[in-house]
Amino acid sequence: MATPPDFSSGAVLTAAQMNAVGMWKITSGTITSGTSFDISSVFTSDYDSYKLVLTQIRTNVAGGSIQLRMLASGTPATTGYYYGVTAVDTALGTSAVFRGNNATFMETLSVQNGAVSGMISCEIHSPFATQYTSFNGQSTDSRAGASYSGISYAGQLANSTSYNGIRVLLSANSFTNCNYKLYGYRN
Amino acid sequence: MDRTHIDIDAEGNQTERPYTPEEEADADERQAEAIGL
Repeated sequence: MATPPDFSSGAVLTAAQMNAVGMWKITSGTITSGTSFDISSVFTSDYDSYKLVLTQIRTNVAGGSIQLRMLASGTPATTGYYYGVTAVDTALGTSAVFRGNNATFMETLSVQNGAVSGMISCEIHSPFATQYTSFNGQSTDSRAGASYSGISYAGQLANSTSYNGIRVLLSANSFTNCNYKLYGYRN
Repeated sequence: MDRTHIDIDAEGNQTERPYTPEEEADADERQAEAIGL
């Protein structure tokens, strides 16, 4: 069998071929307003690891950063986030580190410029399992001038609750655009 | 600032609503706790 996606024209896909697809898009869409949004009922036992991608994040005012909270049937977890963040300033060459120690959210430090598009890429592991949920990813601090930074972050939500959704929050201001895509990695 | 929240259901439908007083208080705290800003 050819390795997907090397399919031949007109071929009927078999279960074996479809089962070999390693990443599946669960949902996608665009937000054009609001300070926060929930992507609900997306984490299930079908996958253990997920990838959340937010692109073309633009806001009405510069300065807000993207924070994440896990949702259990619509109720956000508001404690128990432990994370580390490293930011490298592209103009100055300096780096800065931040941490959350039993924080109320998972910080991505994706700080918005306003008009210039920001992004985050975040992998989320074991959200539905009754295990700790963990996160790792990258983002951009796209503020103007010397504050452009490349960001890496990782952390965990230290409880064994099963979560089926995620809340994306701005620390300040409102979205004017945010494209979201959520994928599941095949187990 | 008028904060609002958007719920997206499994079909991708969006419903926007104002923040509750509790969410407003939480948002003020998150803004204060935001790092590196």
